[in-house]
Amino acid sequence: MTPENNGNIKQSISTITNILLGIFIGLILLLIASTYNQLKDTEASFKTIASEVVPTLANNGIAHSQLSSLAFLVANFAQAASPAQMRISHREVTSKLEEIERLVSAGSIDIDGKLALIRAEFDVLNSLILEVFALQQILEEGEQNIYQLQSIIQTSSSSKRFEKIELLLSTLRIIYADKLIDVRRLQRNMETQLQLFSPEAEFTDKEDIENSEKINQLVFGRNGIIDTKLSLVRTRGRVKGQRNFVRRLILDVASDTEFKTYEFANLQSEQAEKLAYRSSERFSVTLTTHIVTFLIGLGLIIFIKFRVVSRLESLTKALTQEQKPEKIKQLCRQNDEISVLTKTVVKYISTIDKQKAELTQLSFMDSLTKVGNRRAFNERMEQAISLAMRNKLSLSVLLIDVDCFKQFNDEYGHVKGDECLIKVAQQIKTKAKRSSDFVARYGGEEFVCLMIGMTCDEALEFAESLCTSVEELAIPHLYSKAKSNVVTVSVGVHCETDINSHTEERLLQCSDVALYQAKTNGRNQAVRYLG
Amino acid sequence: MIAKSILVVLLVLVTQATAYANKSAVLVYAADLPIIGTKAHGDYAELATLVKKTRADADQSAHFFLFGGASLAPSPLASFDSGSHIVDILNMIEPDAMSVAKREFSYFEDELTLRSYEAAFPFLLSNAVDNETGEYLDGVYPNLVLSKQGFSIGVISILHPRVSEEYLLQRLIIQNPKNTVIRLAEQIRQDGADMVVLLHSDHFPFINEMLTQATIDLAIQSEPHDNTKAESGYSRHPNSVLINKLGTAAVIQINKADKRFNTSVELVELASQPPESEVLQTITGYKSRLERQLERPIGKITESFSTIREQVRTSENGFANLIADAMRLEAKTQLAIINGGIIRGNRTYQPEQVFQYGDLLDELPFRSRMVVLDVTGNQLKQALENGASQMENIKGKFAQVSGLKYSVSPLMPAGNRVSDIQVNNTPIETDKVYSLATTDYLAKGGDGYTSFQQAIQRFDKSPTSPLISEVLGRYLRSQKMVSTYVDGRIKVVGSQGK
Repeated sequence: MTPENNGNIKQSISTITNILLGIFIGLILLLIASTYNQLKDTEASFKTIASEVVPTLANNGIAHSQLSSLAFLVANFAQAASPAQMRISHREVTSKLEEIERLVSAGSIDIDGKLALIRAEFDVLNSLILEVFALQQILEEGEQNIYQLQSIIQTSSSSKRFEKIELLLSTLRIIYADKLIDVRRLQRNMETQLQLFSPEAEFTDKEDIENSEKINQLVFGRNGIIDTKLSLVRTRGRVKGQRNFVRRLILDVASDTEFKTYEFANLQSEQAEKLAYRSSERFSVTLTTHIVTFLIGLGLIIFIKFRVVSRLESLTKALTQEQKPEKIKQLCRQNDEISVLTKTVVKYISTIDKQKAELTQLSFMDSLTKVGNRRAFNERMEQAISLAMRNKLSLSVLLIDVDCFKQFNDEYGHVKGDECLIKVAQQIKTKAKRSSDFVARYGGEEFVCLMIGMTCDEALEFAESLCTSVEELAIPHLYSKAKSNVVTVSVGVHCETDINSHTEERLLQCSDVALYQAKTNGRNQAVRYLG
Repeated sequence: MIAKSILVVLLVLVTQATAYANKSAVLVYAADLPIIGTKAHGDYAELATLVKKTRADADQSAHFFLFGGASLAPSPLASFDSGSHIVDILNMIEPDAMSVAKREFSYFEDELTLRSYEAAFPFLLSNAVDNETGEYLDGVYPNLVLSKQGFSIGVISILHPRVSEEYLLQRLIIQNPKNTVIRLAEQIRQDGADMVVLLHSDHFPFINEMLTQATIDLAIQSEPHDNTKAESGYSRHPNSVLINKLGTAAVIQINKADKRFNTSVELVELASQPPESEVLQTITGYKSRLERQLERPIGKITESFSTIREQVRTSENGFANLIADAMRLEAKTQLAIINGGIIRGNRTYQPEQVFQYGDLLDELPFRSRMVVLDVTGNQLKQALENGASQMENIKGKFAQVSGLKYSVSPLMPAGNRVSDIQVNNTPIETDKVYSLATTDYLAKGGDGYTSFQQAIQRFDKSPTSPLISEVLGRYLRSQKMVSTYVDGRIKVVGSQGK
């Protein structure tokens, strides 16, 4: 049916549309996937920030501040001047340690097991300070003893009263000395002074010996002032050292925490940068994909608009306006489905036109003799009248009747009769050879010939030659009454020069009258209507 | 200051009272014992025995124990407590004074002041003035007159002015040692000292002269790393005592003959003494206290390496490379420079040995912190020249590097020894700026690295200034092993004639 096979289409709309549509849908899917991924990534980042980064940074910040305040509290603790102050400070340090412990056990901070070390070192500091207080207590008691001795000595009558007071003052100096060498020097000094009170010394009485013995015991005895003072000086040094050490230890841990925070923040910032870079890369890709998708969509629409819709519109318009197939054919410059469709439509239209023309021709033709029929004659007559009227031409009608055709039929049969009619008709058509001449079968064995622009004489002359040429066909007709034994015709001729609305009627009536006259006159002749 | 005045008055009183009693004395001197309980030689427990014994033996003679210092640092423990434990142990042995040597400034002026208040004995340094107060460093005595059994000694201790540069002391002004000695010797004689004792660790040419002229009567020097002893034409005065071996104490008998003092010196190896139980117990306590911390393994050693003093101070060293590389990687800089003197272990390590945190602190006991600088090629060149300038004296300023290569010719004159400096195999450009990780010590111009003082510090790159030991510790832990390597980054051209 179709004039061209679909396989031969080079610019198939369907293929192009399918490709474009495929890409378009593909890109849309890609966009959805990429957007989904991006959103998922962003969600994951926010989750990480919320669940890891912020808590870690916050915890490290808290750890750092807790450790710094712990260092401060420890320093404060080490400077406690009284057991009461020490207890208060100890509580503060312990509770701070517990707070940090809680953070560590909650996994919020990681200080690498150093908390136990800090605690152990703090305990050492604590016991050292307790030792200092205990030693101070002993020295205070020693001091009290000195004051008691002083009051006894002051009231005594000993000659060495002032020397003994001097001894007690030296003892007090030992209590208030800062450095070991001072203690040792004062110790040596006192040893010399005590020699004054030995039993061998001059002016030494029993009381002196007793007093000096007491002082000797107090100062040099086991756990005496010297021993205690030496221990105190050393332990104080140790407290200071331990305090500085613990403080340093805590600050080191704090600084380590700070470094970890810095490192973590750095890592996070690097990761964030990477994410930002990735996002920006993805954004570019997504943007490009969006643009490409849009352009492809746009292309698809434009393609459909121009290659399909517009052309279909043109085709519809052309068809509605019944344009000529050649003009419609101009619409198919491309080699695609619409062109194929157009060509097919054009082909159908051409076929219909052709068949229509054939049908028209058939309806105006006498099927036996292949000359025009009565309807064709009527139509031609109308056209001829208008033409002759416009051009002031004359119009002639020749009514031609086969003579004694009834007898011919009766004698030779209908088949021979039909053959006879065909031959006569062809002879007439051959004779009427001008393009404006028109021949039709008027009915039965009667033909009519319409001629434009012939004078009446010329028409008569033509009619007479027609009679002659039919006779010359020599179709045998033994039963003719026309004084001939071949088929002949009688012709009635009428010619009109003044054409008007009655011309048709008159032409037929008058030619019929003339035909009757020819029949009457003996047939095989042409007679002109003479009024 | 009030305490000091009382002290001096008392001393004078005592001296006068016993002026004619006895003119002989025993002086015990020891120094350079930064590491407690070391196996290398005897230390405090043995010293305590020696002091106790000589004190008992002194009988009627005066007995003095002077500690020469150089002990508060460096050591792994000191990197935790800046030397408090040494002060505590010395408190037990009761020195009459401790002279402040340059090592006492390892943790700078303020830490030394803190230690002096922990000490139950006086710290002594004669020629240093605190720039901030205009007075002697807080807690430190400029001179002392010690008097026992009618024998009084005046003690002075001096430092070489170089210490300011070596230990990067910002506040301390080191006064002229010679003038200080002359001035203080006179002053303490007026204060009644029978003899003037000078303690020092650096070599001073004027000391012999002063001994001869009797400006001072006795000079005691402790310098186990003495590089000047081979100096030609130098002979020691009989009253100039040198201890040049670690773990050695000097027992000096002093007798006054006419106006001069005769000395006889016995150098006693501390290891020969039995340890004193109480001190030993304290030492053991200190050692075990941080043992858990110090014995934390860092990584297994893959091949043997050395941190011997001469090696880290005169040539490329695998361990130094490791430190510099760790710094460069952590700070993400192009280059890293450290001074060889930062490495203090002075020992060798064998493969399969486990490198512990204690070893790390042994090697890097100073609390140096990492800083990042932007240096120009020119500043870099000056820094390397400075590093190479004292190679013959095995000074700690020798530059160990990462991210760059250089050649050094020790036989050339100082300041013209470094050549062929390359970064990424490209010669350095004088005006180009390079990012450099280094120590805060060098960045502040320590060890003569003055060109770094002009460089711009990049706080954004290392805002927390981690300790170098932490940086290396982190790096080694991440590597899970200690793998040192020498890749020819420092080429020593020619030899030092050794």
